[in-house]
Amino acid sequence: LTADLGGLLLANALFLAAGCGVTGAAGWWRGLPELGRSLGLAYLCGVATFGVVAQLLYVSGASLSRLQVVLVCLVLALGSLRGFRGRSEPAPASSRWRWVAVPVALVVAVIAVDLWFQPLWAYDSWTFWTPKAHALWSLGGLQAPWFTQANLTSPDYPILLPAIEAAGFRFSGYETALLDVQSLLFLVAFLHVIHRLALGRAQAIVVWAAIAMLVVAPSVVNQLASAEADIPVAVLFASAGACGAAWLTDRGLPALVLAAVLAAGGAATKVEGLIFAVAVFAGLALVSARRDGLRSALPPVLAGGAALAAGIVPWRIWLAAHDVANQGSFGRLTSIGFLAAHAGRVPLACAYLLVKLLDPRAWLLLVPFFGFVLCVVWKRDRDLSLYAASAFLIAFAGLVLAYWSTRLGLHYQLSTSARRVVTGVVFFGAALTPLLSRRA
Amino acid sequence: VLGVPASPGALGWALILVGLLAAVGALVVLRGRLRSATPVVAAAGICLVFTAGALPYVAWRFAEDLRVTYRLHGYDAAAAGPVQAYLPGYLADGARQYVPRGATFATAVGPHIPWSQARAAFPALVMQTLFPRVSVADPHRADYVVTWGIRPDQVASVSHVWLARPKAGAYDAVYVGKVQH
Repeated sequence: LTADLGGLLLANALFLAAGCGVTGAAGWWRGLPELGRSLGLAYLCGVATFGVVAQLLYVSGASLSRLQVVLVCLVLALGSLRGFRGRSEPAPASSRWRWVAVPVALVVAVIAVDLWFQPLWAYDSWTFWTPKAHALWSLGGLQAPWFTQANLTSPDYPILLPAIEAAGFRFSGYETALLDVQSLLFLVAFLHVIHRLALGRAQAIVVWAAIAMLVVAPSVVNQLASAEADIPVAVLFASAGACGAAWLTDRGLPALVLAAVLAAGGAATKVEGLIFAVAVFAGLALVSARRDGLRSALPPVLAGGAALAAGIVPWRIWLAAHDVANQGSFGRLTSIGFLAAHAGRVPLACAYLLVKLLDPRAWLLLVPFFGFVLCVVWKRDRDLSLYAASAFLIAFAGLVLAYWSTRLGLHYQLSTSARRVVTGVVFFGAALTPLLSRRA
Repeated sequence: VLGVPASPGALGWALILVGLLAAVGALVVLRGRLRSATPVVAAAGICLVFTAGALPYVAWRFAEDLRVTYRLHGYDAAAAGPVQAYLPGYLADGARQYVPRGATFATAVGPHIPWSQARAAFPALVMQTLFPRVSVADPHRADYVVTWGIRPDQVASVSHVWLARPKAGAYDAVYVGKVQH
């Protein structure tokens, strides 16, 4: 397992290199010190970009051998050349609250030990997420007969996560016990993103409170151990949301570009990723239009459209070409008759999701803290708080709509998935809380 | 997490209570500082204190989990997924020798298999056992049928039936049938 871990870390180093290129090309960092402060964001952008490109290549018939994985990452890494040409901004002064990093790191280390001994056991992971990754790796690509077969659960789910796992298998061999460690890397990168984006902008104690709660929250460990797609999609959505907030406050184009990259990754990870991407860019467009007129809503609308096109369209074309039915049905979503007949589901789904969001045994005080900070800064920082509130509510409403229009039994759906799908909304709140606190 | 009990139990609840009381105690001690801070800083401080208060319970969860997962090796670790769905990981292993590589198969579960999770997960288990063979929905259109708790000739017209795994304890027999086209 230790040798396999080396292979997995090598694959992730390639994602990081790819992400350094993507963030460098976008103009997010200049010079080595600034790159060092952006490693978490670079890693997540690398994962998102590699995953979206890999999905496109798989759909096009590629096998993504080890050499091809290396080549894709190296080509993406070339973007770093732009970043190395400039000079870094000076680092913001560190705060007296940085000691919290020590207990946080200790808890992360304990989580890593726990995940090291964790087998692959969660239903979705052993029935379809990992089998898809295994098939991509073992069959040398997206073999339509296997990926459209009757016994494969959720064949319509996009394949970013299986593509990332399959790339890992190219270096580590087929080792399923490490997939939760892969999820932990996503989480650690996300914590770094929160810290990086809030650095110099937010109140340090708020940053560390959000990070500490994320690490200690029992639901986070539960989901890391499941090795399913909920942590990856949540991390990508929340990071995209935080980059969107950075664009709103600083007006820097790189932040909007990276928000689109991360949202594309989220949309290519899970169906909820689409809802979350819409939430981020609709929120940005709403605030831009309110602040500077309708025309200023165009950049976020275009960025959101590009993210959805890159993350979803190739996969949807492949599904249509192979007659794979979508579980989420646009017909049901827009059918007044269906929605009216099932209107009773709305209050139940709302209440159930709210209970899961606010459950302190799962998330400690992450969501109440977000709500409190939002209320405090509502008048002082209307743009950012309106964005945070609208994206949060749109994402929440999107989840309710998904339960409203499900063709499966509502109670079954809620009981098996609600505790997981709220993760994205919770992580979004956690990522935005420190940024909101800048005017508190 | 695999080894954490579904309910905290007496010890878990006691640790939650101890953590809560300790957090409340710490807040009482820190009340002066919290009062002088801005509302957001005070709220962040309260969150940090309650997070620290959750640590005994969280530590107990890790300990409970590791107590179980540390001992999982070989089959126990490899089959942890199916076992969570009340399926032995080896249930369909015997079918591999009868279904040729390149053939298609369909699965069926008998009405007397009582565990709904196991019934739902059986097709996924067979799919992985017979990898890279491909499944089809309609048994009549498959080359082979793999059945659990029901004879293949009850789901399709078959020319030959093999016993892939005999009935063992509560687990019904698994059969493979060659479908007659």
